Amino acid sequence: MNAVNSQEVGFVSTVNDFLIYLDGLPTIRVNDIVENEAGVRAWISSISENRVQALLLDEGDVKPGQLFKRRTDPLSINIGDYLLSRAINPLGIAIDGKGLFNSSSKNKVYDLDKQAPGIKSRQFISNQFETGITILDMLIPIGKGQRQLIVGDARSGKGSFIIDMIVNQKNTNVVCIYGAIGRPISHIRNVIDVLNTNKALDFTIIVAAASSDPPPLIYLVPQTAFTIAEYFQKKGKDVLLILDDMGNHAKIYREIALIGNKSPGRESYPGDIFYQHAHLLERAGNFKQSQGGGSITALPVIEINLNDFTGFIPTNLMAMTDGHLLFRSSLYNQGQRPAIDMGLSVSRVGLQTQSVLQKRLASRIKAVLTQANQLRILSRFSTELSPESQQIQKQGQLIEELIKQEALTYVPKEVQMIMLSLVFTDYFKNKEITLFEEYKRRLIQAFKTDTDLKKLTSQAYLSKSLEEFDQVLKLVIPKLELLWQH
Amino acid sequence: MEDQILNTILKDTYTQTQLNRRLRLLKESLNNQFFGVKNNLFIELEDQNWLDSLDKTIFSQFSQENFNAQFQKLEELGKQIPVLSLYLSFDPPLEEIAKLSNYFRTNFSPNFLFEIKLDPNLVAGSALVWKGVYKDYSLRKYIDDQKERLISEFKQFIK
Repeated sequence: MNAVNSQEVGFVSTVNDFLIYLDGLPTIRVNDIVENEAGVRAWISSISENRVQALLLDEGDVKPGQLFKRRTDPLSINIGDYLLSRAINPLGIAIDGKGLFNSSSKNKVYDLDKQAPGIKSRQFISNQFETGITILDMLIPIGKGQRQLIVGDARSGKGSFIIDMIVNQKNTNVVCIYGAIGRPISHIRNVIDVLNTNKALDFTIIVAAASSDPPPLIYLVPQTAFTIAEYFQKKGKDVLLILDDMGNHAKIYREIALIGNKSPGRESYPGDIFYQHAHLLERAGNFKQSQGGGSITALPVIEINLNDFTGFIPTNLMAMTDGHLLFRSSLYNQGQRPAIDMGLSVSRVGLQTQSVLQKRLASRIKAVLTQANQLRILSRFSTELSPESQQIQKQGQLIEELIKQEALTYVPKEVQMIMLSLVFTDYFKNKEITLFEEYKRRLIQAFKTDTDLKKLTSQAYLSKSLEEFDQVLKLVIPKLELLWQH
Repeated sequence: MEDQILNTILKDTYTQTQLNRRLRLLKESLNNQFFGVKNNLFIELEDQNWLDSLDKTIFSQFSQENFNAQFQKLEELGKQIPVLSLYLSFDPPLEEIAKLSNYFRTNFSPNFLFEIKLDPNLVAGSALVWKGVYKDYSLRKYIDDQKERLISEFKQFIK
């Protein structure tokens, strides 16, 4: 018997819910995995002088005195293209009922907790992340590699907005990753079904730990999601990563920290909660060719209560992202889709990705919207407004109607520009605002199908100045009028 | 002083379970002597014999005033003794453990305790854990390593 099985082990000294302390394991490191005889795994979270703290990743009967053996593989996951269209848990186990991944495809193992690439690996964000959603692409644009927070009340349309974001990436070669952090199983199932129905699952990976899963597993969802995103980014792909939601992640981390005797800070969150989220989100970005050349656009989501976005975690996340979209349930109830509050939403990076023409048009629209809002307040005090003021108010109203967009619709960037520019022409002069929905639908359809209009739209999009754009627009209007006569 | 007491106890104490039990017995006995607290009305004969066999000077080193503090130190020292966990496929008699322990104390380390764990899956031989490292010298390990070869050889005899 020459071959002696020599392995590091530790004995459980204390069990505290999902957190255990072990004696032994002399050369163990943070992020290593230990496992007992029954296959219950634990992830080493911290090491002190005489004991090791570990978080249980599986449910099982763990008692003091039990033996845990160190596994050779640290906290890692097998990643490959085979993950596309699948739903997995944070440890890479398939949870969609489509069967296990075959062992030959499990070729690459990646560590989950990696340092974000440094500044030398990154490049200027210069390409727009097209969403097909008018309000976003025109007024609050997002760049490829940007981190944009989605913040809003419950029932403010965040969920359907996220689905739209993913579905609209069809035929764009963007890989979408949806991280469900402690969401109910029914929600996860629903997302999978909706994406499948809309043929968006082919380019999407779902990483999910449901609310009923052990807290350490839920905590690992963003790490796994980012690790998968990095795999595709290194292959030169643009990745859209959605983390739904980071409020749950913060609460889970608070639970883990409090059980682990970490000192509670503000709202009982541990002192390193900012670090936990920041070191995750800085893994997003636009990367140089030497680093694979792809990008990771991260959209962390957080749900707030009664429009109060001044809480600890929402403000932390606002500080570590490049902008935020504020969703309001009141706007949602008024019929605005997506229910984004334009005044309180911001994108600090996206503007630099827009063309000069888009920027000029966007600033023109924003100016009208601001003026219209001011005039709306003033009109409450005076009975009559000047014709100019009435004109601005009508333009404001038209813009608000034009940026409303139904779920699961895609409006190309060129069409968005032309459509919003029509507000500044006489096109809508004699059209009833109550029938606007119908106008809009027919307009978009015409821009998508009519060959002449398509040609003019591309011509307008390539215009070098606003004046040139206006010239092309003049050619578009008669064609649109003709369309109405038919 | 606590070192001396512990060394005296360790002379015929070989396992961690035994040490914990004996420290508890000593504590109860002293508690009874100083404060008249009787936690355990029925002491087993084996335990009583051990208490009687203890050097009387051990008892004289404790007083009502220093009892709690000194006993706490004694317990702390007891926890610091390294433990060698020994996995066996059978439950060895105490005499065998004593023999084995004496051999280890002479040839390996004078200061250690056994923790005997029963694991019938080992088939034969033993496995041990020392300072957080598990070493398997069991027949199970040997069979596992030679699994393929054993199966192929067995297959030759199966028609």
